Amino acid sequence: MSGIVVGAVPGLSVTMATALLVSMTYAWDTKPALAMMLGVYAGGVYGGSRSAILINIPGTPAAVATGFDGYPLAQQGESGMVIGVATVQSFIGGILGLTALVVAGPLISEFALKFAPRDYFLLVAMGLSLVSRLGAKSMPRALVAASGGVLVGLVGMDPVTGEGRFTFGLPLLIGGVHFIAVLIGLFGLSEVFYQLGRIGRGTAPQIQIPEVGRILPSWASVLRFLPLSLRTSVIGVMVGALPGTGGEIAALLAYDHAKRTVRKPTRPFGQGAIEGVVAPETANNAAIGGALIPMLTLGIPGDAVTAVLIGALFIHGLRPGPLLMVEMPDLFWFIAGSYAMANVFLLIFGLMAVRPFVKLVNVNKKILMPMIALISVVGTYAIQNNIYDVFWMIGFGVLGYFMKLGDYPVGPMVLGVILGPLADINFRRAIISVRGNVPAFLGELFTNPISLILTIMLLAAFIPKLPEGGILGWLRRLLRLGKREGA
Amino acid sequence: MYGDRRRLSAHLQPAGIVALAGFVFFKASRMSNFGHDPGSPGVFPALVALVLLLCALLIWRESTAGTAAPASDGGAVRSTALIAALMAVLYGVVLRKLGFVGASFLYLAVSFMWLRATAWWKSVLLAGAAVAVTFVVFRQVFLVLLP
Repeated sequence: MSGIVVGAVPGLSVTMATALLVSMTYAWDTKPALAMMLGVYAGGVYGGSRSAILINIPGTPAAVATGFDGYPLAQQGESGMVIGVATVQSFIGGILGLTALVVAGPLISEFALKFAPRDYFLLVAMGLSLVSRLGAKSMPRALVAASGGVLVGLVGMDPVTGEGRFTFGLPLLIGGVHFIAVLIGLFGLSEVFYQLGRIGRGTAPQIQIPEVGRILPSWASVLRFLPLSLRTSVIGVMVGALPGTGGEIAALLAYDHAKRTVRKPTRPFGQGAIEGVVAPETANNAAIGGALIPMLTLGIPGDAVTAVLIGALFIHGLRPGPLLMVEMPDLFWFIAGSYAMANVFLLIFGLMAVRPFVKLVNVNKKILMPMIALISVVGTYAIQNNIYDVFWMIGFGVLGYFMKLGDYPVGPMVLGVILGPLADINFRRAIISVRGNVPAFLGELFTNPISLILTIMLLAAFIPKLPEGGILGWLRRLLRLGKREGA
Repeated sequence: MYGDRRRLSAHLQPAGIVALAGFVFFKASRMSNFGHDPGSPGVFPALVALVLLLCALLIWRESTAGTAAPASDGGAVRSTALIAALMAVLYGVVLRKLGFVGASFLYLAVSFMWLRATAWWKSVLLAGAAVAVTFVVFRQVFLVLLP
């Protein structure tokens, strides 16, 4: 339920809430802490649809596509029905994502035991390039943000030689900058400043929220959209499993898929097509299961929230990856089971508690935002009981605000903080394994089958968009041009 | 004037990134075995510096060719946001001197009143209640130490 609240209120983010929970549940046992975070994750991704449908302001980025048709439907007096559809479809997507996790997880983990350090380096580099490519308006700006994050992640004592990197001789920096402080600052505090900058000190406009009617959808409607749900769930799982991508990309791709494949939608897309709600809601929740796959099997985050979950596992003394699956398989099944329970409660609370949640959507931001700043301070201090983490958090909050103004996305920066040290250590292990012979290292990238596939995938991430009409269209234009010149 | 600011920003941002790249490369080159051992701790930061340099060039091309997407919210710094940021910094500074309860109460009360969220006396009451609830919830339920 907390997750639904967090997701439903614009200005609160699932990533921020999960990050705060990491530090706040530090004193708990690992499993209850993880269960709580998974609940917030699943509930939060779904909860974003509430405000997207009711007031056309998505509570989470993953709900952007839901508003395209959800809001027009609500305006036409169907808010109850569309919330019911969103809830049921989120549940379906979540269960299908979970199925992918339990089927693919053990298989990938088995396969990942064969990965060499160079393969991990390639995977991490691919994750950083994908998050820069897919999730931002400007790839160079996203790469700058990711690079900045990598540099922040490298601050501290080098794990191989023990020398300080970017510490400027300060003992304070020897331990590095805790990524939770960076995350809360960039996702939490910067959003507080951004929202307050938008609303200002004047009187906030009253947002009209439509009346909510019948909520529970009929079985016939669920079965009618099941083929679309299944297809968009597959999209969600595949996108979620890609390192660095998440529910928002899955939802947009699923919406696009629905537009292109549904021949007779209930209404035209953009004007209240129910399929326009089914597709993104199934995909964004299926993406959670997808994102958990690389997180648990490879130790690489599928999105920002799973990056936080990795941090949670580190804090509890666990290291996600194929060895974790071998040494503690019960933890994998516990996570799968918790996620299943989270989906069941999502369905129950989502259908039962619609009307009370409606009021939350319009909560006074001038009260909410300073409260979030307060909780951010509490959550940051709880990581290591170190006041300097709070100062870092505030500093990154200010930086995050200016990044948002300059259209430098904060997501890649957070992923850079987490993935940067992973890329560095695996790169150096790979170099050490060939005794510093760079040509041998490069040769292995192309001669080892797993490394070759990953190298191709990494290089493919940098290929610019295909010309209109694809390669064939380009060839046709080239031939026509040749004919005109020859005539 | 707005156009002049955007043109200035189009050059300043890439210049800043180039300066950062140069600084990172300089620091990386001072790390042990840099230039001799590909496994040196400076190699990876040097690669990052190279990426930053390339991105600076691409951003400069985007900005000067006019192909960059318009900045969110017009790219203008809002005074409310700046003052909120300043208040957050001051909150951090007084946290050690006044402790969590005192600093947080002051921060919330001043924020609510400055933002005109509600009447001044309600702001004070709300700040007090919020700090009390936060204290109880986080100390008793989550068992976390407060600043």
